[in-house]
Amino acid sequence: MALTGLARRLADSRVVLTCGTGGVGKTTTAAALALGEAARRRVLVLTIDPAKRLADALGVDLSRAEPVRVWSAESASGSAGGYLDALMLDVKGTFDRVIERYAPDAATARTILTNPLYKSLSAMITGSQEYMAMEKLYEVAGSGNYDLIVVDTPPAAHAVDFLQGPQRLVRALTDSMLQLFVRPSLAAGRIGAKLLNKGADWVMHLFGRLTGVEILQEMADLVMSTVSLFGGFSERAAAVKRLLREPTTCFCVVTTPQVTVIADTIDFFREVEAEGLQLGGAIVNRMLPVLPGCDAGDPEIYPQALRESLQAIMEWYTTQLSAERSCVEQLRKALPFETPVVTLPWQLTDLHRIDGLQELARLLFAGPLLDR
Amino acid sequence: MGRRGRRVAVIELGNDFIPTRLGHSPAGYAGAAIAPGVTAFNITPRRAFEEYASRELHSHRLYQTFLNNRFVHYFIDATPGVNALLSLGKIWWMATHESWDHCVVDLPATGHGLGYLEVPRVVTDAVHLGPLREVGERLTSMLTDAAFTRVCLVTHLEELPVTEASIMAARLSDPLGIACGPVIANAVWPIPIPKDLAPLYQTWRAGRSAGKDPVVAVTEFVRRRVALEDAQRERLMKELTSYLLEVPRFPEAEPASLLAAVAGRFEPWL
Repeated sequence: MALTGLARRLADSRVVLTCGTGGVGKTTTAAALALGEAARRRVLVLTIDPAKRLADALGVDLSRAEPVRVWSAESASGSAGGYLDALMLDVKGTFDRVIERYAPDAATARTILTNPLYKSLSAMITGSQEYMAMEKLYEVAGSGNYDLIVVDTPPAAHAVDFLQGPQRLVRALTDSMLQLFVRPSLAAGRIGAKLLNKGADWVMHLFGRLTGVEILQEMADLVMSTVSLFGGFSERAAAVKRLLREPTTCFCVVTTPQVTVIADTIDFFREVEAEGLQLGGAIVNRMLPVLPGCDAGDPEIYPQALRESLQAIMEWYTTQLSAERSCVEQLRKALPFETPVVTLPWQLTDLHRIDGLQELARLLFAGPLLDR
Repeated sequence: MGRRGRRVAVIELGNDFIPTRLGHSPAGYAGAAIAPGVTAFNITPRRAFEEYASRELHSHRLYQTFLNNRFVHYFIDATPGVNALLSLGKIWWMATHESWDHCVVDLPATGHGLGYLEVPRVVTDAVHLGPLREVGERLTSMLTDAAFTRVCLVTHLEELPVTEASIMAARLSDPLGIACGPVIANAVWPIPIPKDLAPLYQTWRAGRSAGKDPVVAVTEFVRRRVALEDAQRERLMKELTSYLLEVPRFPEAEPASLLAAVAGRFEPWL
């Protein structure tokens, strides 16, 4: 079987992150990529999208925050081989485990975990998810349980921002006004420090006017109790950054052949390149199939009553087909030559559950027409 | 809505895709006109904070001197929920203190969109008194007032997107208490053969092979996609109480003409 360039690229990967804007079929594609590799490797597909798309695509319940076995070579054919597990990120649970891991003792962990403000912040998807997604990826990558981890990221305009979550957290812990909660009196006695303290007092005073004093006090209590964990967070963020830049980690973007979506995809690739991350390939999903002779219909043979309808649908199809080809061409020109581009045609069934995903995996791995 | 003489703010959160895809310069936080009556905005949390803090402190100078620095910016960037709170606060201000007839906000996708909309409620639960609680209450009121705010779900007529739209509609209703507006089915396939001509088509098609006849191949392909959509439309209508607006799958064109075509489809409903 001839392998697509994408399949060859993924064969050596240990972490594949699928990215893309909403509505392009990213989750289904991520699941199919993972399933395609599961025949020969131990694979985990990890979704960090709070929507339950992956569970729906695989037809399994992922609410337990534990990996769920979706497929195995042994149960499918009785032969030795790999398997596919699926896992949905549990933001709050992962946050709690991070606290337990880095707290110097059980009492400190308990103090943090029962802090009301911590409970609210850690359960809030907006913001918290970005930190915990990379944390979870690092955890499962280091577990030794999997040869390949496919990460299904949430639909995002700037997927790279999402990956920078751990660095943002470290910056906040080490170089933001959170420090003012930790060190209210900086090296008393020096003129410079006194001026700095004066400024810090003003910052806290003004923030108090904006938010209320009570919440600032609660925040100070929380920061004070977590200060012993800062070093662990920083180390972990640095390790995640290294993991994302390893040669065995790559990004695959899923897109559709529409002008605006392709423009977003090209922007995404530029962001990935600028960050020094590896480009795994592009998957152009939902292409109209090139049906034999579809651009050469002869209107003279249509029955009179059907002529208008058939002409209209043929014209619509060929116009759409031509526009889609231009989009793919535009994408291929914008990407480095060695970056694989795979196209997937529209299917005549909704692709989900294992059978549908197997078919999609076959197309991804066995070489559709426009692969390079 | 802009074509009908209304003043419309179309708001992106941290992006400038709409104006730039239409060939305009980035709108930025200050906004820029992109069509008659329509002004695009890119709301970023830092600029929203600048505006909010300067207004609440009655002094832009105080903001510049003490709050416009990396210590504060990094804090805003990293604290969960703060981004959403500041952006929603700016939207509230635009909707209540500026002269827009409509503010149309391009929310993040389902999971993050829900997370974004739940922030005011979480703040109200977590903060018991003070200005921050007042902000949380004000934004919760804005979001839960059906006469003021409605969420329009945009979906495709396919199984997984329809499932997701149904789940989102349910979560918006309970626990968030946010009303849904019309649901928009985007990129709907064209019906190749009208119902009244279907018997004639079937007779004509009977003697032809899709493998050999391109017209049959194309028509049959599109008909089968349409049949899949019909099933999902039926499911969507059963699961949602809102009404459904459909936007056809236009043959791809330049974004500006595509936008004009889609806007034309909405006009009868406005």
